[in-house]
Amino acid sequence: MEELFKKDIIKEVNPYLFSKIQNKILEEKSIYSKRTNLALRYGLVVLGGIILMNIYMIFSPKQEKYDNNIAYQRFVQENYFDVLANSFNDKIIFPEEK
Amino acid sequence: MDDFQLAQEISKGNHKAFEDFFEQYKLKVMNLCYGMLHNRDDAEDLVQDIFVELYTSSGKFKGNSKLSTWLYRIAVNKTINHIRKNKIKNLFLNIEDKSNVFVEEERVDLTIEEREKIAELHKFIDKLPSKQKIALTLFVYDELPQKEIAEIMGVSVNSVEVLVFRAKQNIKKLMIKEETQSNI
Repeated sequence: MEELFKKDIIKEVNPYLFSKIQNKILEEKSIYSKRTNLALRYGLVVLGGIILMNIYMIFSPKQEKYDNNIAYQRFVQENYFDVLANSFNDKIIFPEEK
Repeated sequence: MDDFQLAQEISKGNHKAFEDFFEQYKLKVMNLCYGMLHNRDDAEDLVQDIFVELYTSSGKFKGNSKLSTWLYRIAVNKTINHIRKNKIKNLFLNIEDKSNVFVEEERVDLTIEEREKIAELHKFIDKLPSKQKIALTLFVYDELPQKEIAEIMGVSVNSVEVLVFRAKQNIKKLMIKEETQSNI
């Protein structure tokens, strides 16, 4: 068995093995830089999108629209007393008569 | 230059340092892969991946062990992963793994009888439990001292001794069984 093992051992390798390894390393490096570039581009696009969205949010009249909303006004008119009662102590709303 | 400095040089892209290291360990790594896979082409592909991995991650080497021990660990892990992937692939594609049924015809240094015997030996090695297979390969194909094998495998020197002994015993048993079956 020991002799078979000895005979099976490889004594030389492909002489081009090292150049193949170098090519693989270069390939990996280029793939890595391509991926990094792609990730950077996507990152910039997302960042730009977020900035634009924030600018729009700041200058959009959305809040005013909300305040002037008819349904909201009706809700306030119909339920303002319940809301008030939940928020404040009864004694403040109905002070005890002396 | 100590191992830590060498790893740093490799990570910085020192071509000469990397080539020297490769020249020093190419046969060892090749034999480790071949001893586990029994296929020269697959072993060669894996050697490429192992040295690429060493190159790309050499900056992470902290110098807690020898750089060669680190290289062997990468090699063992990569080889085990390769075997696992192949098993799954063969299972899905319903292919019988024939890598150990024949020894490459390019081995002109061997007689037909020797090739057949070695093919059988490969078959028996593949039947060994994983740890026994790794220990035996590092001991027989790489001719590493048991202390270094223990460091690579993360076990005690005594365990390595037992693993190698049991691996050889198991192979002998399988050989005897095969012989008696062929005689019948």
